[in-house]
Amino acid sequence: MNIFAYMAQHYQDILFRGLQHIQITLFAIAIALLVGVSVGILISYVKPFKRPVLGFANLIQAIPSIAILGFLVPFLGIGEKPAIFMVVLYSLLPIIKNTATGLASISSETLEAAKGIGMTRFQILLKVRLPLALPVIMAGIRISAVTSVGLVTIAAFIGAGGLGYLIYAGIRTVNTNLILSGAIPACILALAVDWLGGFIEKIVTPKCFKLDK
Amino acid sequence: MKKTIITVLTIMLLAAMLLSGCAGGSGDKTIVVGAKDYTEQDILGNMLSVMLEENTDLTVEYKHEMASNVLFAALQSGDVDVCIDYTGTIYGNYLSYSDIKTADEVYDISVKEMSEKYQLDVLKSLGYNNTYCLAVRPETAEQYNLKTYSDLAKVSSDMVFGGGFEILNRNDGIPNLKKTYNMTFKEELAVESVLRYEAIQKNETQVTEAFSTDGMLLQYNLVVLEDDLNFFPPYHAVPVIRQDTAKQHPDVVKELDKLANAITDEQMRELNYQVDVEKKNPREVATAFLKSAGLIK
Repeated sequence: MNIFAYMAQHYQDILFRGLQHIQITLFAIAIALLVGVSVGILISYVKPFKRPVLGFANLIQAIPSIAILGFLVPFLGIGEKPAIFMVVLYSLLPIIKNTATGLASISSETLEAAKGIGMTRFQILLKVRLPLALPVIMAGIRISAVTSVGLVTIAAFIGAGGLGYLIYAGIRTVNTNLILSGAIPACILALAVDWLGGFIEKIVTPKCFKLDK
Repeated sequence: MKKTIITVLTIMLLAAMLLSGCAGGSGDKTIVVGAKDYTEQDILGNMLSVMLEENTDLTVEYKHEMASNVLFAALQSGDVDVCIDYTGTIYGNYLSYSDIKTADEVYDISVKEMSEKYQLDVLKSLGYNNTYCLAVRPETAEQYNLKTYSDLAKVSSDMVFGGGFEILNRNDGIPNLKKTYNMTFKEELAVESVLRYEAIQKNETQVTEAFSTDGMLLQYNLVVLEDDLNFFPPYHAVPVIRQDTAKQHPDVVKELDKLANAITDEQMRELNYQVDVEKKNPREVATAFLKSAGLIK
């Protein structure tokens, strides 16, 4: 049976697993976003935290994701919880780093001007630094989001469900169609997330940064 | 700069070549033993490897951590020469039969069709039966007065089932079991190997897949329910060997025949316990067993 006929026949399973997948991914990205941007802002203002925090995030990235999953199971059990936790951990580095870089790369003249017109530090952060850093921050979120789709695939191994379930089941039963019925939607999902991320990046980029008219 | 790039690339190329060279050659004097991805299979795979290494002049290459169907594909393609499989898996999974037969019938059909269809010889059974079973915690069994799968079917729609990708998708697995017993579950979670036991311990699942010779059954004191409609076929452990390997190495077949009826259910469970619970090394456990059974010196 060709893959498209197979997928058409099993569209209910694929839909079910796909929705599970999207659910876990969205939740994880949302948490990673909140935590990552906050920590990124924190380490921009509290300099001594910068190296240990980035060092920690770097270390997490170096550990294989399936190992972290296995490590989390005794603490968080099986299913969605360890999956979300693992994806959040992996998403931290790009988001924190990009937030910190974005905030740091604002020209000092701009900051001086803002101080000059009497803005408080908080106002400067909210009205000057964050908006100007948004394109770079968004780029980090976009990278994390796309990686998350792939990571959630692995989490099926510990009962989280999602499209990875179809892939593992197909591997275990040597059923290529089953593998593809998980892999193709996962790929499409990653591309869709990337496209969406690119779209958001474009609309948050202040006009002054855009090079093309 | 250019020189540095060339040097680095050359070193990488040489390293890649060296590493691929180390992947070992196969030849007439090598035999590949295959095993699946759970403890019992790792012990049996090591048993085969040690026996063949000690009692023949062959070099053994050991490939494990494969799912059943993957191992079966490897046997057919020649990537694996010999392994231990189970009559029920052959009958219900590879040959896809669903009707209920006696242990002897299942064995005979397995031998006949594996030989005719796949040029694989199924040799004499090791003696024990490692069947799939469903297990629940003692509290659950008491609460709902569960003894059989039929009892379970009455209350299972509120329960979460935990099992591996294989049992959740195989022909002799959960989908057909549910049909036979008219059973449904609130949720079916895919959990691999020993994590299943942790999951049911934590009440994340209320029913779990288990193997009847799992060492963990001893440790966790789970209640194994009775398959009253005999859905699962008998799963007697049998050596499976490629016919061309058997022809080329009759001494290997002789060694495998020594394993006939060599292990009981209790013995296998004990060996599994030593690895899963006492955390002993599978190869050491296998070697110790072989020595005590007089199969190696």
